[in-house]
Amino acid sequence: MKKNLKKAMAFMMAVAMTAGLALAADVKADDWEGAEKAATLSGDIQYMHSGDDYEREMYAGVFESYMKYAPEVHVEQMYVPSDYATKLQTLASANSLPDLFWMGESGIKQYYDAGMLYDMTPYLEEYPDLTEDIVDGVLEYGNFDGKQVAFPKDWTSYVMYLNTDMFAEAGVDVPTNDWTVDDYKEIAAKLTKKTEDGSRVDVYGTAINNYRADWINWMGNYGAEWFKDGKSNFSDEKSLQGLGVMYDLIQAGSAPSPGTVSSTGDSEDRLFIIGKVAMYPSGRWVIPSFRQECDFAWDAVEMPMGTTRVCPFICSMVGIASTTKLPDVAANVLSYQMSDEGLVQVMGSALSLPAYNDLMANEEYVNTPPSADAFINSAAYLGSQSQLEASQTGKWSEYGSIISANLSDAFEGNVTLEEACKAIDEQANGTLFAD
Amino acid sequence: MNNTSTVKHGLTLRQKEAATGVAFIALPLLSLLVFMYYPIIRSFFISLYEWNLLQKPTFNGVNNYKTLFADKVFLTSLWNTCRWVITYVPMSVVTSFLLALLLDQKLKGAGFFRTLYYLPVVAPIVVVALLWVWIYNTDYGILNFILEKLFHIKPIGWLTDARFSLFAIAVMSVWKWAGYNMLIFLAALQGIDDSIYEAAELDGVTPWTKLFYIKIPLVMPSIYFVMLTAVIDAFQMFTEIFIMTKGGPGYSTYTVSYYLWSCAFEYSKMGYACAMAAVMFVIILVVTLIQNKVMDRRVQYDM
Amino acid sequence: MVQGKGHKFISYFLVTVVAAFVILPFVWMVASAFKSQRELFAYPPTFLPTVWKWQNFTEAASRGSISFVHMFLNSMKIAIPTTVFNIIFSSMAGYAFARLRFKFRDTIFMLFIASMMVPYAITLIPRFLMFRTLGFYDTYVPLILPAMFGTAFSIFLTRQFFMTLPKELEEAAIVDGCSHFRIWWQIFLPLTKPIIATLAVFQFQGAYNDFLGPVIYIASDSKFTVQMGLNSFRNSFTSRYDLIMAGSILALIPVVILFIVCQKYIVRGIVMGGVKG
Repeated sequence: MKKNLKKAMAFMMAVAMTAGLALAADVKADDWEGAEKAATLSGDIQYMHSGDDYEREMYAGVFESYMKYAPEVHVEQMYVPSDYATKLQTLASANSLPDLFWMGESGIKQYYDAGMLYDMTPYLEEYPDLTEDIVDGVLEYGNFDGKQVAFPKDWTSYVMYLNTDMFAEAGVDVPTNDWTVDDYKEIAAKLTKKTEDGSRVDVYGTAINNYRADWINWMGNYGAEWFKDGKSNFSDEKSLQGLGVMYDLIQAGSAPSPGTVSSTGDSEDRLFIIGKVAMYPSGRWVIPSFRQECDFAWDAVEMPMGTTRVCPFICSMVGIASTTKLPDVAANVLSYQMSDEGLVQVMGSALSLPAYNDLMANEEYVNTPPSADAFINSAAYLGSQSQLEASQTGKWSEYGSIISANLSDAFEGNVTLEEACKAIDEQANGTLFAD
Repeated sequence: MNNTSTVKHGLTLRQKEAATGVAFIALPLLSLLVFMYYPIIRSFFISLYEWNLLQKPTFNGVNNYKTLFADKVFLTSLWNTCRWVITYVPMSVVTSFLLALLLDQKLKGAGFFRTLYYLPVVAPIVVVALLWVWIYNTDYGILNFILEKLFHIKPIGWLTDARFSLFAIAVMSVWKWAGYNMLIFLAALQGIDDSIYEAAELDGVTPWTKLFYIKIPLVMPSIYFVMLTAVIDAFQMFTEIFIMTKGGPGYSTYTVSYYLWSCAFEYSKMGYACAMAAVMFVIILVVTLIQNKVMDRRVQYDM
Repeated sequence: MVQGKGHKFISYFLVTVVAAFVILPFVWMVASAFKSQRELFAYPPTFLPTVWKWQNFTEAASRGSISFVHMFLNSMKIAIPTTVFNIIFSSMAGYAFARLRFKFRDTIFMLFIASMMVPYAITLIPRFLMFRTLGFYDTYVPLILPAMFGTAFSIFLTRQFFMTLPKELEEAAIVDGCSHFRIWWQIFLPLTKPIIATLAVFQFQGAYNDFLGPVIYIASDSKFTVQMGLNSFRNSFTSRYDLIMAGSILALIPVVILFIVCQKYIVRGIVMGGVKG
């Protein structure tokens, strides 16, 4: 099975690369702007990243093709498969950060405060393509005091995946991008099926994750300012309304409680793959396994509309260590990774989305299935002030676990949603965000 | 260090013996001081600082301790540890003791059953935890299926319902460790002198009297030992939690060790985590002292 | 308990019931390891797989950037040196505490005994900071070094054993001018084979089954141990319970074999360590 997947990926990558290279040959403007400089650089550079095995192989490919431009540079790939944030922190504390490394969009502040991040603002001028036509609202997450210290290498969007076979079977129309939360709840109830003896649920209409993307998405869809003036604001009416969508679905029996599902692994995508869940909200990262493993027709639409729409920004940002001896090389590597030629090698797998508007409209970079519209549209409402502020507190990991612990209590029916949200605010504002 | 030829010939036998003794224990002692006692002391000093590892530590006095005793999560973790001791320890001691009584009879194949009962003990905790997560699964787990078919019990969220989560992990732990404690009890039971039983039988005592007036009192030191170990282990519990619940749902399965790990390695609050370690140390010390007092016979090390 | 035919029968019945409780989870593990993902999540569950998926094992063994064999060898790189050195140093120290007289001997011994009561979590952070400062993060050193020079439990166990041996054993040798090192090496050590086997099994199991240690100290995938590898089947990209169960069986096989081969030593170790301690 894995071999097949590898083959399929290799094929896809090959197609994508030839296409990308052909494109580069055709249009002069698409040449990588750092090529000339690359030839003059030399030295060994370490690049540390997380992700899964496919991602590791893809980046190995990116570094290899970079080194063709820069024969005197050697990029050493450091791959950390699990507990990445903890490991990065440890390396930082031992003062042995790699030259280039990934950080979660909410984990940058502490490194910035400790003076460990190289200010890459000058490089944005040296390589104008880095920021040209970049999607709105993504640069900010790596920007502190006007300095760009981390770069958004891509993004993932958050959409609703649909098992369209189940819709056909139940005679329910497949929703379009303009659907609302009410439609969603209704369809979820319709698609929920009991076992033959009626004793329990066989197929759930939908699933929810007790995960930051879900919280941010649902609260955002009701315009909630869930983090405001440096304080947690979950008890706000709008926040409650957004989280209530998740809560109601569980209460109505249209979604399994997240605890039930997460105890079989960290995510619900398995249930979608084996046909136990009809609609599943998630990021672009599930697509490689869906393409490989789903033996039914499936597609994706935008998340249902509340009073508005907000797409959570989930991203690994690239930073350069302030201790690096070769900042020019590091920036050159980054520039290559972000070039059309570098990105096409990563985007072919559909693990994530390019952070550039022109590439978002390009089939090579945002390929199908599922339909690209949901992803393209969501770029228009990416990120929110609450998420940006909360991410930049530098205390997200602890805040996140306070949220997740209390919400799990509510989702499992141990407390009400109001109680959980009140507890989140009290706990977070009492200690984390005190003074 | 083990080369006695370097010992000068002028030394007496007694001096030689002492020198060898010191040489033999030198490295283990050094290792003990460096990896055990020095960290305990250092931990206390770190607990007086605020330190995220990335920046210089700043002196914080006893503030970490103040925050700690107002920290809902820490207090819940402590309370969970108490709940664990109250549920797990009796279950574990009773089960293992009954197993030991069962195997203490002259049964054919007792050796085989003893081996079998010990099997969960050798299984890696990661394997055991992953397996039980699967067994306990609310919707697809075999346990709920069996309960439903046999007793018409509605599916229970063993690991997702705050009322059951800690208990469910305790049941798993009994399953995993009963074989170990059983062996300890078995050894103690088999160490009871036959002449005591013979005397008792002459007096015509009932099996129950024999159990309560001979067996249990004579095995008591082992029971204390097993209980003390279980209490200490309650503070150590990490892997089960990390794999099965991550402390949830809510904070219902946070243990002191798990919260300490989170604070240190997820939130990088080193000083705070060390304050937690210091509190844990004091609690363990007190528990050990009390338990030693309670036991009429002091632990004997055959000095 | 009462002796009698009926009673015997009840006892046999009970031991069998308990045996079933002990074995059933393992049986369920094996059955699950052969199922497809779809069958795993089927309701009502099937007991035995309808199709036996042997591929689960090959996939579990080769999935990810490093193979199961590679992870197993990594675990051995930790377990073997820990076990070998621990036994040598513990046995020497045990001999010294049992047979040699020197100042503060009993106080020092109590220091060792007391350390057995200290939970791992208490020394966790300072130890971590120490190894980090020394530049041993993401190496096996922090996982090997602390146990290498003898641990309280091993020293205690060997000492207890040496104390049961008669004094006459070494007296003649001392009169002959034999050094204590030779007495330990040539007379005592050969007599302690059973206790060495016990310690070896315990140390090996401890190192092989350890999870917290590797989680804290190991970062790169190429250095993953078996236990870490097993847990990493559960990240968001690969939450594959079919593979977890198959991988669990692979991880279980070495310790079960070790246990079956050495079980009498294990029993002895617990009896000595548990009852007297």
